[in-house]
Amino acid sequence: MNRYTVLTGVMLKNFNLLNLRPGKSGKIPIKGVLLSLLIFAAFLPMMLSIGSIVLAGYAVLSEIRQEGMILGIGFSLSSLTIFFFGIFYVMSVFYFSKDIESLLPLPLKPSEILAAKFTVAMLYEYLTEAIFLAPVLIGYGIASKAGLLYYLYGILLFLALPVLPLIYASAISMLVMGFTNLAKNKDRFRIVGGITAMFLAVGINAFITKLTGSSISAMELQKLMEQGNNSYAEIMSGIFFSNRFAVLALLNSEALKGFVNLALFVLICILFIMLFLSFGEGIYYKGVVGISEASAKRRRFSETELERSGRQKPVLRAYIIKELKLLFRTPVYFMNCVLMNFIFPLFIILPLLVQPDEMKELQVLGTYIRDGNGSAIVLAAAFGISAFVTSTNGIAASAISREGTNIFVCKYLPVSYKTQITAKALSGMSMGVVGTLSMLLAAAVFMPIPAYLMLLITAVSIFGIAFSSFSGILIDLNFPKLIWDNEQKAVKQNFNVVLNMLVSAVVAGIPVFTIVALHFTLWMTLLTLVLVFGILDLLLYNILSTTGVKLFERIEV
Amino acid sequence: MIELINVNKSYSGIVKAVDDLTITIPEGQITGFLGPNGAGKTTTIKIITGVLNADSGSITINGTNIRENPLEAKRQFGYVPDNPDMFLRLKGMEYLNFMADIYDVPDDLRKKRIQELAESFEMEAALNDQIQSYSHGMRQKIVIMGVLIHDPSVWILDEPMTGLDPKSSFTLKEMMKTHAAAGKTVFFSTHVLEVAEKLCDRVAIINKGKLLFYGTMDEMRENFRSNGSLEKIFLELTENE
Repeated sequence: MNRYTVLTGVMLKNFNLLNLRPGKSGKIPIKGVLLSLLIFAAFLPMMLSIGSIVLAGYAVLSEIRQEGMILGIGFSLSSLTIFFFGIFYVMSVFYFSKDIESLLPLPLKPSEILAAKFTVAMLYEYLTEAIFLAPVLIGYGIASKAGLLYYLYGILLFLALPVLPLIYASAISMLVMGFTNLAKNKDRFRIVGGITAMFLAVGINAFITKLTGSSISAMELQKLMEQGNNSYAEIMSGIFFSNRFAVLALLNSEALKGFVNLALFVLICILFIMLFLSFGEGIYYKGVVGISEASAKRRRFSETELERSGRQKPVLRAYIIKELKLLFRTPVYFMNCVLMNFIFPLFIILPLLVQPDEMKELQVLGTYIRDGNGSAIVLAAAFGISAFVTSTNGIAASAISREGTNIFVCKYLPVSYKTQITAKALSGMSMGVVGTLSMLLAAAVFMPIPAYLMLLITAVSIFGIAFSSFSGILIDLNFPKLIWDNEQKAVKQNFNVVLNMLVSAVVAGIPVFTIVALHFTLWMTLLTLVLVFGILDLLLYNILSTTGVKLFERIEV
Repeated sequence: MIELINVNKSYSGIVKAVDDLTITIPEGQITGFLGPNGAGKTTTIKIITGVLNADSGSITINGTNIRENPLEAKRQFGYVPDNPDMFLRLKGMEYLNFMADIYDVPDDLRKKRIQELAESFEMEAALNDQIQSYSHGMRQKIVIMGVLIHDPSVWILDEPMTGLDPKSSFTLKEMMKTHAAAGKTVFFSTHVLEVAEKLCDRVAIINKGKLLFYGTMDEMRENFRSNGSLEKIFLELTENE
């Protein structure tokens, strides 16, 4: 237990989610604090709207005495979200973290390392919960005029809720990693492992929603609802089965029944943790030992290889190729920056495959696009989406952060900072274009989009892609997160990426909204977007080549 | 030639890492840079190479000021940092070609150099693998090769011998001698006093950011009226601080 506390303490020192570590100057950077406040402010509207939905929902549902549904849905959705993010957190904290190498030689049991790492992942999940679950709990508490015990139980449940979903996520990751670690080419298999775990997560999510949706017929549900008495909570089941005890504990917080249910919930958590640790004792090291091994052939290069690879390239091109190679070959970057570009097309295709009925509606939409004013809206929407997708891949917004402490290499190479910034922006843009094109193709399969519109979308979206790449790299130049102990922290746990997503969503969203609201024609839309974003892009590029270069100059590790 | 005039650098505004350093590293000689751990060696080297900005003072490389004309100055030198863990996911060959592209090395010249360097550092069989599969010494070698591929006139090496096997260490030392003999500049930091004693024409010793001694080995012995080893002089110098 003592070793667990020490270990967790050390790991938490590296937590540093908001990049608030004092620099060499000894002071906590003001910019970083402001950025954190800004991010928090950005999530506030979302939290407030969740809260107000809860308040409104309570008013309606308390009429039929089913207000417990709110808590039930809140816990279920939070569990699902925790589970989904959990896959990424677990991969990063359990496997990709650099501290593993220094922990392995220490006389520690696998379960001790596992317990400490699990705690760190739990803390990440509390942040997720703070956004999704906290507004539900507080909103419900206010609406039901709950007493002190409700809030006390609420806090306890808030703290314990991630246990089950996170253990599921860990179990899946550990099985996948234990298996892929057998492979020779670790990097490639880790990429495959990551993709597999992600698909498993998406698949299980879909499966759960389908299961809970069909296990009870509409008639039965109606009958149940009519009973009142919060009967909904009683039928909650599925893999997050213990959530029903959480709901019952909160609903009956003033009675003994509440306490019993709370105790049951906590007991289940403890039981699962014990099971998890003893299971992990055997399997965790299978995925971890040798994870940093790299495959090598040690075969002499041939004359043709030397000939082919040795052709001189212009500096900008050589730099872009280097950036892209690192993006494609580093598993974490591949998953978060490259794969991300294909997730949105997947989101378009998957639901359509699951529910073919919607296909017909899309055909109708297709004719609307061809005949009516729809083409303008499609152009505007595609523009906005492509700018947003580019920001979600995070390549530009983490371009400086990804260098980490090796940023010094950028400093001694005889390549101007302007060229380096341009190369980094272009590598982000190229993946943005790939993402946009793959989305267009996915959409074209299901919707009859005219060829000229496809061409226009491709041309116009370049301006949006450039914008979000430029703004991303400008943000990252301002707040580079260079001190990290695993690559995941440079891309996934980097608020610059989130901030750029917000900026891109807002800046691309406003003109799109205006165009739709004012019923612009296709050509007016085209002209507006090209003009507005052409100017914005030029402006940003100008800032990058002046202020951006100065910021780059000033970065020191 | 490397010239530092009144260079200052402090962290947090309190700890002086480099304290009013003025030194000229001449051509045609091997200059060793010595000092205890944390003396400011790496910081000085990082300032010379443009990795860190000095608080004040001027740094010129072959007469070009690194702050005023950074690209021109950076083309003059090749730098081997103290930690070779970089570009780990590039193959050795890709890294060498990347460096050659950055420094504008034409096709036939780079091919010739890659072959020669691979042979003298015994890296022929490793160049097709990613750098992350290399041992520490091999990483050190690939970084050195990346520097030598563009044949810079000024060599700046931070602890270059660390992790090298005897043969590669010998090869590198011979290369350093040849380079200096050709009238070029070699500046390197080291902890290993025996290496400095055998290899260097001149040594600079710093501690707490201050230059304690700078001159030839003979001057040093004369100065300290001692026939003792460099080790003895070094220990005396840095302990009396």
